[in-house]
Amino acid sequence: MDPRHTLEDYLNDLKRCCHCSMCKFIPLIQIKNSRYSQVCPAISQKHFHAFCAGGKMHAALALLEGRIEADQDLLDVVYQCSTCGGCDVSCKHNRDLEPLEALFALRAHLVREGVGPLPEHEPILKSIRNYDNVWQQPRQMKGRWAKDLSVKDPRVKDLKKESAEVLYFAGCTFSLQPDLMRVPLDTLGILLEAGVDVGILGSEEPCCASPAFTIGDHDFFMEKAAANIRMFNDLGIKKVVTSCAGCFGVMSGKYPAVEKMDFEVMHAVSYIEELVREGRIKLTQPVRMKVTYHDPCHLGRQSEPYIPWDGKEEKVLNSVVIHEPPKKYRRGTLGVYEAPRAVMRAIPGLELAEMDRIREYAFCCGSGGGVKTAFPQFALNAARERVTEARETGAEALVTACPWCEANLGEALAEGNGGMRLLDFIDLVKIAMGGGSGD
Amino acid sequence: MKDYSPAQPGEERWLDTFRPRDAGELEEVVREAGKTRTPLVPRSSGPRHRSGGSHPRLPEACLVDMREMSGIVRVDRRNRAALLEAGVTFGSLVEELSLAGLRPNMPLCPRDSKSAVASALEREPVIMPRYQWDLVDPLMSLEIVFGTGDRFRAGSGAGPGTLEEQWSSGQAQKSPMGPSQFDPVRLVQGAQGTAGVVTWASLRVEQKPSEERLIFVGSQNLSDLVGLVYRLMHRRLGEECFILNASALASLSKTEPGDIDSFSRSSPAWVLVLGFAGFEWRPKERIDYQLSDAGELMKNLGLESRGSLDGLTSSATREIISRPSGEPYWKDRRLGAGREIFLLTTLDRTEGLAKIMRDAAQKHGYPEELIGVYLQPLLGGRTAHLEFLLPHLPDEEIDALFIDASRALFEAGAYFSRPYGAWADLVWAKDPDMHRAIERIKNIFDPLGIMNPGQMGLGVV
Amino acid sequence: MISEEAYRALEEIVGPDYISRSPVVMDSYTFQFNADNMTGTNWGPFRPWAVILPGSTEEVQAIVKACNEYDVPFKAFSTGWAIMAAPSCEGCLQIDLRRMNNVIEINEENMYAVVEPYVACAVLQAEAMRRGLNCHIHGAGSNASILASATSVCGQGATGVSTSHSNRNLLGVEWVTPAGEVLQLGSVGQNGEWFTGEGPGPSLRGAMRGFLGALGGIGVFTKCAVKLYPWYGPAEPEVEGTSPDYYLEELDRFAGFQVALKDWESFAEFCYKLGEAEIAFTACRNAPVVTLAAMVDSNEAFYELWQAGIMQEIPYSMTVIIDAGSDREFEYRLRVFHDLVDSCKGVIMFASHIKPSYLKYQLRLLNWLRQRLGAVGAARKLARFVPPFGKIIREKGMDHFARTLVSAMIKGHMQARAIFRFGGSFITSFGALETIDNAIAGAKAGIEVKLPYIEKGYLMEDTGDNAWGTLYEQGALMHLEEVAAYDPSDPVAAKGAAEFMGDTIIVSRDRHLGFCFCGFSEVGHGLLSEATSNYRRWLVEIKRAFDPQDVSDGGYYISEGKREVAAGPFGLTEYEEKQPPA
Repeated sequence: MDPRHTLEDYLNDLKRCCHCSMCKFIPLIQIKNSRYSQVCPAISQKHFHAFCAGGKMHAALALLEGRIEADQDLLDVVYQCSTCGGCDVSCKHNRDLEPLEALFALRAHLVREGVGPLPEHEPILKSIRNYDNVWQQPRQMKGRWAKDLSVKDPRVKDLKKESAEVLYFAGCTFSLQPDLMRVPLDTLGILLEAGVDVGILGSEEPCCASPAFTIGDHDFFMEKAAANIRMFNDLGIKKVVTSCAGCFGVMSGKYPAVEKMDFEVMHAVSYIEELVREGRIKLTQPVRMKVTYHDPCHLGRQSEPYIPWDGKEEKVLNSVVIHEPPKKYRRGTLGVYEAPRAVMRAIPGLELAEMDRIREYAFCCGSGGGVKTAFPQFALNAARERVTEARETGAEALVTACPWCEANLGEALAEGNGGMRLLDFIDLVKIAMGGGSGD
Repeated sequence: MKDYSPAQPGEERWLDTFRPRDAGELEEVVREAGKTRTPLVPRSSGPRHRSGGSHPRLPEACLVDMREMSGIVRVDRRNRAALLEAGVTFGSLVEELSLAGLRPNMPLCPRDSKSAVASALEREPVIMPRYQWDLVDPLMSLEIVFGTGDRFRAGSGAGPGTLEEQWSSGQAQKSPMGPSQFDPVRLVQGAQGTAGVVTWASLRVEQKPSEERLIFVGSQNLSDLVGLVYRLMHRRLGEECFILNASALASLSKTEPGDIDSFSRSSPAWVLVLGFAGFEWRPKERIDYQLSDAGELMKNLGLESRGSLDGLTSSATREIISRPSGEPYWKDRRLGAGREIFLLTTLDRTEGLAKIMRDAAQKHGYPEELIGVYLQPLLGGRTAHLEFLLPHLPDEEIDALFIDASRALFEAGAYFSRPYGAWADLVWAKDPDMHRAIERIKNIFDPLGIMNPGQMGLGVV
Repeated sequence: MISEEAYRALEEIVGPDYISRSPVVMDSYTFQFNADNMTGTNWGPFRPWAVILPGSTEEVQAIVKACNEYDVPFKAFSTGWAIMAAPSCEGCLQIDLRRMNNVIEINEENMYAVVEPYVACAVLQAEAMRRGLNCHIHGAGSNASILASATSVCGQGATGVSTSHSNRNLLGVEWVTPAGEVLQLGSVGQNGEWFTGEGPGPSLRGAMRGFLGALGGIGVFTKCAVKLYPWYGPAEPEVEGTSPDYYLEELDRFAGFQVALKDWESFAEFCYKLGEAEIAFTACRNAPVVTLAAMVDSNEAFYELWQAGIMQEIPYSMTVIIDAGSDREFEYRLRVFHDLVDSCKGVIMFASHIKPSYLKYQLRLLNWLRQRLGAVGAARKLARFVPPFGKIIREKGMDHFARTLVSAMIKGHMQARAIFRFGGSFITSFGALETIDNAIAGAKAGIEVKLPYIEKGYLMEDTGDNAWGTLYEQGALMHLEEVAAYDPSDPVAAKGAAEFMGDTIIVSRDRHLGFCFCGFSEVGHGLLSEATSNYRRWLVEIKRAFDPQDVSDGGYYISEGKREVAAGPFGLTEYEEKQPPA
């Protein structure tokens, strides 16, 4: 989405929604059973039509037309949504509309009007401004995860002082959450072992500002994104590689609308898949485990590269809407789905059991969109739903590649006594490279 | 619980009998009856009436005998439909349709005097379940004079336009749905004459085969044949498909009581009669593949088909089931008279219900070997008509057995969807809300309560 | 003004989480397609007074009783799509049945399912297929409720040749009447089993719906049983491809064809023969505009191919899918199918398995084009058509068209693309369910009625022929409805679309083309009842018998004036008869 777009830019889409409710379901042809047919955590919990993508589009139209006020009820509808984009995928299978972009535009509208975001979100925005992280932790803490590695391994470049081909971007959650720090540490270690010319920014690493975008402070987001892009351009790197799906998704899907990027963005799963194919990473150690994989929204459907379009709408044949030039729609299918699977298939002894809702129609873990902060019970309920689905595969471990997913799913897993472990993708790679126990 | 035994011809007493020759005369009869609150009982079939649906309950009841209206108005080969007046019997219908390359989806050997329209209105089971997409079938549209004296057309025949106008645009009164947001066909069907008098109905009819085969599959166990029928229905194989026990098959296929007794002893306990047909397109190939596929299903269940059973050939059977029953009516042949208990259920329940019938018979000292059982899959196999034939001597009384067995079957889950006589007491006691709702419907079409009052527990007697 | 006491009583039934009066929630129920025909906007004429979400039949009954007590009109819906799902009067309680979403039973042997209101066809189909069964998916698409179609709306669907029609698939029903009774129709009321909805005695199924349902005007249906049909494909068909091109895996003993005939007469012949041959799983007529729309990714791609002018020249076509339960059956059916095509001198435009012998069909097709357009005209149009068509084939594969159509027909998942993607909305008409000949007569009339509205710019320029329909029950019946796409954001077009609908009612009435789709609500009855055995007189009595207090919103059914209503067939709230189009 272009964060400069206003809600009015989506007026035609708001009017053309036909209230079909497909946004509540995974793409209809993909439905395998009654239990796992829904894609939207919001409508699944709240039930009133207002909470689905179509309902929020109606809300947006009603607001623009002065039928409703921007009151607390509207904020509840708009913000009890993890902005996962599952609705967008389902809608776009049949229609050429932008429900997710319209939702983001609605949030931005509310913020610009001074009504949004929610009070619970203000500390996050302030934290990004002041500390370059969402956790209200001092800036210096962001480099702590790599302290030992930087000291001990001279291959790790300090990009404040040196140049490298690749910037490994840890992201604030991986950097600052103690139980997740192993992920960037192990990832960086694996990249180094593969001979990648890589550096980090440590405590100078900025926040990607993805939460600012999803919460709706698009002006702040654009400011931050532009600054980040300029910083990365100035670093002379060729590639930014990150383990955080949130960071990856925003850099891939939204940054290009803000400013020109002289670098490529990759998630670690894609980069590692490439390195495995090139033989620079060898997965030789068996990992005898049955796992299931959760596709993070921002690594999957919301990571599709931004497609600029600056055209106009025309009507032909009296009522057929076409775009000049033709507009390409991101339907969620070009996200990163195959890379983690290819790597897992290459790990000897590992059995991958897929859930029913996967890839572009995966059910969200529930933690995105500011929901975890403002509506923690909502977020946890969504995670419980996903964990139930994961458990039904009979897998011993639930694997994912996003810190937000891990945090929220982890909380739901911890409640149950089903014995399922939560692993990051990198944990499996490390074990398969001989870096840990495979049993 | 009381029931009504079928009256013998000549036993009925009516205050008067009206024989309208057209719908206009019928409307006059009904309006006049309304003025004087005279009960009217419509009837389209000839004797002997078995179910109790058109009996004189009241001394002042008048019979509306529709047999003067016996024209086959239209046979439409292209659309596989026939529009016939109420008095048309199966005998004449079969002949007429045959000339057009069509055949009716008939009940199993109905009485020769049975009205085809009445049969459809009564939801009598039909022997080719594959063609039955709804229990309404083969009834499509109809015209009725309600108890108000108003004439009304239901189904797609309602319009817009007259029948002739509809024909001009290619219609054939092919649908029982509507008009608009109700299905009056469904409100009239099964009403046992308590809503009004039907003058004509359109029926869905089927292509006449160019080639046919018929086979028998015998077993000592009903459940084996039920299992086969389920699989045949899932594969949509075959045409005629029904199961008879030895006694029923004997009565159907033989005429002399001695022959019936003898055949019922030699026949397998249960026999599935299964027909196959080919039509215009590669008929022989169609029959061949269906026979082969059915054969495989049988083999998997340890069953075998035969072309004849103890001298009863498939061609003779085909001849029997393609027409109405000869005389005497097959259900009366064994001992000269008979009563039937019929119900709806699903195929998987039939064995259990058959046992309940046997237990009731035993309790009443009724010989089990006399009980005929006719099991007719309906609605593509989703429902089953289960009928127990209880032959008896003409002056023998089996009311107690009839009532007891009915009650026992009902309590075991039998569904009396066509609640004649005593069965009405059972079903309404079970669901008084439904009784009240049906009364409301009756009051719409017969506010004066002149149409067969008291029938099925509706209206004041 | 509905009392606060009423609200509290309702809140007491479901709890505060499941009732709302908040404007943002209310407006999400006010927005419906075809609202524009009435109001010129996306908003229906009346916002609900409140929305309530019951979780059980008991709660529904309690709600309905409370509505009677407090004189609150109510309108229930399941998946709730189109203006007919929205309230048609002021102060109406919208009952959203979303929480009642269980597949209660699938009886495999007896081939039926028991469902609650919020079971979408796609959900039931998935569960049924796992058990070797399939369900009828109605024309709205597999996102819509199967119960709503069976009890309350209509019920046409692409696989009707083998899966019949929703009215005919309905078995037992649980019905909360407007007076608050709970009636169980058919066997379920007697023995708890759902295998039939008829009886005892006459069938109350005849009171609850007809060719059309009561569209919320006769209470709430909380459960129903529907017939299921044999499914000879895999239990969980794999889905291949990526959006927008999802395809079902190649299915054993399934073959899809797009068959074209030369004219309406030979199209009719083909339909009759196909029906009698009893070989089809699907026999669905999609007009060229819809066939094309379903197979391309965008309106731009559609427009490019449409402007080439070839598809318009092949309008008499049908998608046929053959299935079979055995190899023998499959081979037989394919042989017969080809016999039928050849006997009608038809063309197989594309197929899931193309044979070298199909070259004859391409030659025949070229000959038709030459006859219709002249050699030069045909060549010009082909020259314009082939490059973009070839591009699609190169990108997506030779089998793209066949696989797309086969998947769409089986899964019913692409309806919105075929019609809403154009301009945002549509209206539909004719659609009587009668014989094949009558359906075609309606399709011809539809073109005639539509052309002036295209010329005025109200409706999409689709040549006038967007007759969508299908055979039912192996050719016993057929329907063809004249679909018209238009832009709902244009109030003039929206009003014009409604007027077009009015014209179609008159034409279907005056030319005796069967009872059309639009025969509901007082507007529909006003135009049709007198010519149709004066049916309204009896329908009113049924409404009164079951809804003595007139609380079940009858705007799309019967409304006798107790409440001011704004409703009509697909948004046509008023229509003045004029000279029908020449």
